[in-house]
Amino acid sequence: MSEEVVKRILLDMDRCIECGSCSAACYYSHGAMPAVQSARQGPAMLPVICRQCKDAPCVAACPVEAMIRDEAGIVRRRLSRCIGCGSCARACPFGVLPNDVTRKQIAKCDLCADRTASGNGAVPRCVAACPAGALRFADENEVSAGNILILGGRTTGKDRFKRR
Amino acid sequence: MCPMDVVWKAPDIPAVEYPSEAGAGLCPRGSALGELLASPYRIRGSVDIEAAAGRMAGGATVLINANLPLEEIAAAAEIVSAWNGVELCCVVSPEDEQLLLGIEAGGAVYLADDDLTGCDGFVVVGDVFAANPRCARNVMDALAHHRRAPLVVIDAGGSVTAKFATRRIICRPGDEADALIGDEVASAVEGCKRLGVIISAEAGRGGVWRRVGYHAGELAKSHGGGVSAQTVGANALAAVRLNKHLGLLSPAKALKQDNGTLVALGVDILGMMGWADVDVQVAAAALPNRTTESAQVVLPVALACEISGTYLQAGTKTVQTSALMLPPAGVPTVSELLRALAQAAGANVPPLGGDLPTTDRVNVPAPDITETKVPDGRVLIAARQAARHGEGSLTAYAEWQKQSSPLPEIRISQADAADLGLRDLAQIEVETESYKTIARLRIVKYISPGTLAISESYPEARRLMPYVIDAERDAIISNPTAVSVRTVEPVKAH
Ligand code: SF4
Ligand code: SF4
Repeated sequence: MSEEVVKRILLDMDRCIECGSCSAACYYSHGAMPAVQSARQGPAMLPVICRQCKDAPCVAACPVEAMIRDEAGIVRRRLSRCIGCGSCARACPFGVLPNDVTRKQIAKCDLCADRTASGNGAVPRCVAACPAGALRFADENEVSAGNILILGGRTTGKDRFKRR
Repeated sequence: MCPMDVVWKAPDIPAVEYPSEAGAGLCPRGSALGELLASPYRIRGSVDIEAAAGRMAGGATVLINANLPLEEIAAAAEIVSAWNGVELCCVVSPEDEQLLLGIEAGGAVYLADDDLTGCDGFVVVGDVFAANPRCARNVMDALAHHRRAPLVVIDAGGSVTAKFATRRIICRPGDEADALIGDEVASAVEGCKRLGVIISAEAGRGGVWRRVGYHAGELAKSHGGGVSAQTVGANALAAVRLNKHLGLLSPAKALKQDNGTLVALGVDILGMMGWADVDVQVAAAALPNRTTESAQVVLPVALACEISGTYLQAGTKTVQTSALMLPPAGVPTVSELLRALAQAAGANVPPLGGDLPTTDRVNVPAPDITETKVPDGRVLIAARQAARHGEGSLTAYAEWQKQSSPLPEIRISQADAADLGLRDLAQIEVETESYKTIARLRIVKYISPGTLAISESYPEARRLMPYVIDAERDAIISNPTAVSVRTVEPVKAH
């Protein structure tokens, strides 16, 4: 089993135009349980997206082993096991899991594994939908080559104070 | 155009897919289309042509939509030309119509979204990133390439685009044209050799858009660039040109004149204009809207994405689109419907010619200077929203849109919110002389005190500031409207 995922979804805050396309794409492709939701961050409404933590507190907090790290390293929720108790949502330090439990189950980003697992340059749907190019699906090499700043586990733009 | 794909989840359940290689995104409005294609609210059933044609016997004005491909607009014009007593108008959003006529008069080059990437500076009027989220990528790519390129945003509505500006000109509604020709813009773009002027024409700014289009063209020409109009209808420019070339009625004339029955085929004219008391006898639509609610005869019609055809992009370039899927069985296109109506009325409609009509630039005079009447006190104007589209008659049926933005958002300055004791995200009652509705408050930084901007894609929001017809200028205008707001507490569940 992999320890952590190779690629993560990164948000470039200098580019996000708060359009919600990422959230809509997630909603329409994940049975109306969007794992990408917009949250107020200062004066902006930006998407909050799972960081696929190395030591994921949500996995540790889940009492029924519904939240797991799978073979590819993706932290994902097993729909058939989730009892909607919300322990993972409270444990997540980044608040990316919605507190309001849709249909008694937690919506959770699985990096669109149905299409990204094969490689072939496929990207998660939120990344494909982002009209501004604010979302990227990148590995660590691309992060360092792209001079992308990651602060305290949060992905940010190159200059987080430039605009807002 | 939208890089959308439709996949079949089950034999009867279409869904959108987001191609990884598209590289240019799919906005929430495109995403919603997959759901709307199989909407349970879809208007189907028998097409009562006899009843509709009977109501048109004493003459009629037929309104069609600027989102249709050229082939459909041309076919509709040909059918109506063979039908005595019936006239046609291709309805463009009133602001877009004025803006495009202004650009036509100024003689500027039109830029397609892709052309924006090559620009070395931008002047933006309105919330262009919300009007067309896909143009944001081209602007950002250009800015990434030319690190010192200016992005000047002229805006009255507290837009998202203004947050990205290197220089912001936060004006009062109706002052956009003066700002465009002002010293601040001139000095900011000095040295630009390929300037992109991008405009989203929004309601509530009075008759300013024709001048904005004209001056935008002048400014772009003087810096080797061009103009990009982010319109609501995908074929708005073609519609404006065809209304002139084919001698169709302008929207102002079509809605002003008394030519018997008003027939709206695929255009929610009452929702768009914010009118409640205009008698539309026959309405065709894919999904129910304000116009079908009040019409005597309701007919089904295909959505634009169910028809293949040609769209005019950026002045001279055309683009071919193919239908995402066929309309449901028995649901006609606008031209099929019109032909059946004409034949039922006894008109001798010839077989349609195969050639597309000319869509060359039209000759229109430079605009007069028009003053926008701004009432004293706080005023309401309209704002674009990336999640919803146009007058909202389609996106109102999309689940994500209903969940993420059930109420229109109303933007207000920090100073006004403090003065009125209003909290961010509070539920607010908004009242004007013509209407009253509920909205969600957003306190924003870049809006002038005294101006409030409400999302336009809700028929209730449009009723707050209904359009008026300016017959003298052959235009339809929406002026800033005096407004009052107060907090309302949501009803608590027990
Ligand atoms: S849900 Fe939260 S805790 Fe779990 S992996 Fe994602 S960011 Fe980490
Ligand atoms: S789709 Fe892209 S630009 Fe739009 S809200 Fe999401 S991250 Fe931001």
